[in-house]
Amino acid sequence: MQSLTTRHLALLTILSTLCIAIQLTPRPPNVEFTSLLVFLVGVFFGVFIGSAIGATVMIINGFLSSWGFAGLNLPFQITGMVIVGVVGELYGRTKKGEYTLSSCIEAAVLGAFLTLVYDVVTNIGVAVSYMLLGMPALPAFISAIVFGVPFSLIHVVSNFFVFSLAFFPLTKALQEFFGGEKVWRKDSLSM
Amino acid sequence: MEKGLLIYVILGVLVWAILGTVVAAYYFHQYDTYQREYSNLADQFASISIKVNIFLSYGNGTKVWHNNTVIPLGATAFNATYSVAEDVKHTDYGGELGIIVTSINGLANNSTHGWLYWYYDSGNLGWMGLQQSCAKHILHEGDIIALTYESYIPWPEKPT
Repeated sequence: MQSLTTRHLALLTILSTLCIAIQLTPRPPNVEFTSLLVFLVGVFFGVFIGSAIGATVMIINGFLSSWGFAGLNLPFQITGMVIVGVVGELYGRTKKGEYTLSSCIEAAVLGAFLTLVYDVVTNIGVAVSYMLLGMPALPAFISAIVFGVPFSLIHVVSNFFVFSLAFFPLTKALQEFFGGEKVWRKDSLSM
Repeated sequence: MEKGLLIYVILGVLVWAILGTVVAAYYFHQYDTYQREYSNLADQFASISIKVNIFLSYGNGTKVWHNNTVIPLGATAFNATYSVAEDVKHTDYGGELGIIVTSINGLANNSTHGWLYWYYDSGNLGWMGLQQSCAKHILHEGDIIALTYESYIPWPEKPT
């Protein structure tokens, strides 16, 4: 577990607040920035903090969202966002602080893939609610996937563009904020 | 190809494939749903509608058959005209004479020519001219009617 400086803590607080604020702001369905920010926190702060922020945002969103209480789907939303945080850390380890313009494409593809994974996981949650109403497992899952297709399509496509456009500038900004990720990782964080 | 790049290409193709599959499934489901709704609606509609065959002859060699035209149960030859022609004009003389169609699709009656209604007697009589206003001739399932633009002088031949 890494120790956090006040500077890191302030940044995480701002990012969390930003996530929650965007989640609770009326917006087109499934156009969101939480995945990107959780991924980014996973890249810079590791899986525990990334997942914790993702889970926290999803819990608050699950209760206060303008779309209503998430209910049974809440644990699945948290799981989906934790996966985003985990992959964020793995990606951060792979890149070792060397982000180039090609990272835009990588992040976009990863963003689309993670969004798809998130949607599949949350659709399992929807399928479980169908199953509780008496529907068999396979039809319940297929129904959940099929009925969710328009939302998934918007989600995946929008996140592809959000990741491709915002990931690289944000990593650059954060690296500058910390004085370069390599320096920051070496000097200010004890992993 | 570089291994790292290959992974992202595979990942991208995988996302594309899964999305494509579920979108196809979604549209198949939509197609199936609307097909069933259409069938149900058609079944319900069949109980309150009939199918008739309508022949239009414009007198200049243009002849059009509108087979299996669906019209409401109890519809008249006049109502049926509206279901096969875009522009129909008529005059209501009231009383016994009733409604007379004066123009169909821009072709209007004049002092020598006009629109005549015929119905096909499935017995031995063949084409018969309407003996009453087209608005009084109630159609039945499978009826065949003709609207022909003909000269009054001499009295026109039966539709062919």
